[in-house]
Amino acid sequence: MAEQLQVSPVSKSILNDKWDVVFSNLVVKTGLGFGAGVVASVLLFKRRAFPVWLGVGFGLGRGYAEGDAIFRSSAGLRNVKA
Amino acid sequence: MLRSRTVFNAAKRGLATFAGEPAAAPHPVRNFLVKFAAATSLFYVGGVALSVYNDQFEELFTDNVPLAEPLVDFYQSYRDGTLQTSKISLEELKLKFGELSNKVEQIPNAGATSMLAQTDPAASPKTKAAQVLEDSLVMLRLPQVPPVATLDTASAAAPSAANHLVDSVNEIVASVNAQSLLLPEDSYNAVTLAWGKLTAALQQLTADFDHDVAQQVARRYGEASVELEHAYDARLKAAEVEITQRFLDEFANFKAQLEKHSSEELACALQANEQALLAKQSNEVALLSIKQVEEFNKILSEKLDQERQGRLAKLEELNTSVANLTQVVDKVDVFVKKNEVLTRLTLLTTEIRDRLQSGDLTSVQLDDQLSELKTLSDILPGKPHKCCTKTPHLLDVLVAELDQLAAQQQILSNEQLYNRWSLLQDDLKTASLLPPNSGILGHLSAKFFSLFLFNKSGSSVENDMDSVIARVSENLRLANLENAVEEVVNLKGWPRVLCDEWVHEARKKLEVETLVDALDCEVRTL
Repeated sequence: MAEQLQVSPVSKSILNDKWDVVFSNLVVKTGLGFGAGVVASVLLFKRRAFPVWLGVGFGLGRGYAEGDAIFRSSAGLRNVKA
Repeated sequence: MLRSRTVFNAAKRGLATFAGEPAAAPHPVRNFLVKFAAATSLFYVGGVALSVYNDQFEELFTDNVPLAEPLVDFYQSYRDGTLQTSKISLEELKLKFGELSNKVEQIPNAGATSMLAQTDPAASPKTKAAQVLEDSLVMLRLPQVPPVATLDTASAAAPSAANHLVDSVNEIVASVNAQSLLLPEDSYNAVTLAWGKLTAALQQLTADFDHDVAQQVARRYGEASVELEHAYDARLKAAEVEITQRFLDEFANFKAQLEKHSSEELACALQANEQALLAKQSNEVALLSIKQVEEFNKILSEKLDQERQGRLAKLEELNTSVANLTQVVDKVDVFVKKNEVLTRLTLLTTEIRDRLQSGDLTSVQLDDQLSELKTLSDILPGKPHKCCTKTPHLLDVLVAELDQLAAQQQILSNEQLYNRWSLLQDDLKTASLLPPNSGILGHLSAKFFSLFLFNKSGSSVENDMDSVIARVSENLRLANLENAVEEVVNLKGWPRVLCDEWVHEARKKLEVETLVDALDCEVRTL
């Protein structure tokens, strides 16, 4: 059985890694909100624009909330088992 | 009008119930009694019937209902056939109450000599012819023959045969009595007489039979006892002969076994004694040979001493001189070897220190120097062995610690530590502005405001973040690593976390430098 090495991020890059996680999470959540807004606009609101803006806003808000939680706690700091 | 209507209705009802005949007079008391009797009978019959099939109901019924227990017992006895009714037969009734017309007043013991009873003519008026006929007839009634008194010593078959004969006679008598024969008086007397003779003959026969049986039993007893005595004597003699023969056989077998066992024990004892004698003889031979060898050695040593006193008289002095020379050579060898090892150790510590203090951009690898250091430490003379002392030598401890700390690892050079600290400065400035438990807004604000911080350089006495960074940079630039590490270790919060890896590397280098210094001092004292 191969020995498992515990690789933790170096102390210097802790904050930068958190920023990476926060930005990627923000992009994903914004994209999801945008997609949900587009689908709702096409299916329910006769291609009007406000559902798209509403979904993007929800995604941004959700990404901000999770990013805030990531910075305030150890969430998002991942220990990778190689 | 109302009255006329009532009368009309009553008449109407009367006409409806009137059937053309006058109604029978009611008998309420009689009807009540009949119904009560029927109900009581039905109750008792049902209770008895249920009591037969159910024990619990029987217990309840007999305990609580009067006259229930006798009724149940009566029914059960009737059902089981044990009803105590009168078992008197018709004959006994006749004997008890007599014939309808005749009665025997007295029955003599010697036989059936009964007399006619005097009937009361007023009580039983009969015809004259019938009266004459009844006067001339007598009912035949014979007495039973007494059972035979058997002898106690007779066999079991004899009394049974005699009693069987008496029983058969009594049965015949009983059958004759049961027929209630009416005989004329002369026939009756003849029968009675014959019956008396028969009884006497039977008693005589019984007595003769008993006498013959007793004689036969006595004779057979005598013969059987004589035969039994002869047979007992014969069996006694045969058993005596057999037991004597068996005893002789067993005695012969035991004698043979005893002789065999004794001969075996004797053979074993002889063999053991022979072996003991052989061993004793061999021991004596060996002792003799040892004594001869000792004598030979003694003679040989005497001869050698004589030779040594002669031609080899200076050999002892030469041997002493050679031994002294060997000791001196060994001491010189040890001294030279120690000096060489110490010189190499000094050079090696100097080389390690130079590599640690060098300004190269690459990391320092000390594996070769450490292996050489271990070898020199092992071969250093004058050092007590590890197995012979409880307190280890300082040189060994230092080498072991150095090997544990720096073997298979890379130690950063001063230039590398300075470059890494320079890379950390921006993050340190940002982290110094972070509030405690800051979120995404706090981090963005810290990032933004860190752009407006001033950069300091040189030695500053202030305690803000810019001054600390400037002091650490100045100490690193002057290769004063201890002070730089002290400044960084005193940081708090996120800046301390960010510098953790740098502090670890710097501490490792400081520990290696300290161990090398201690090793150099120890080598100089040896």
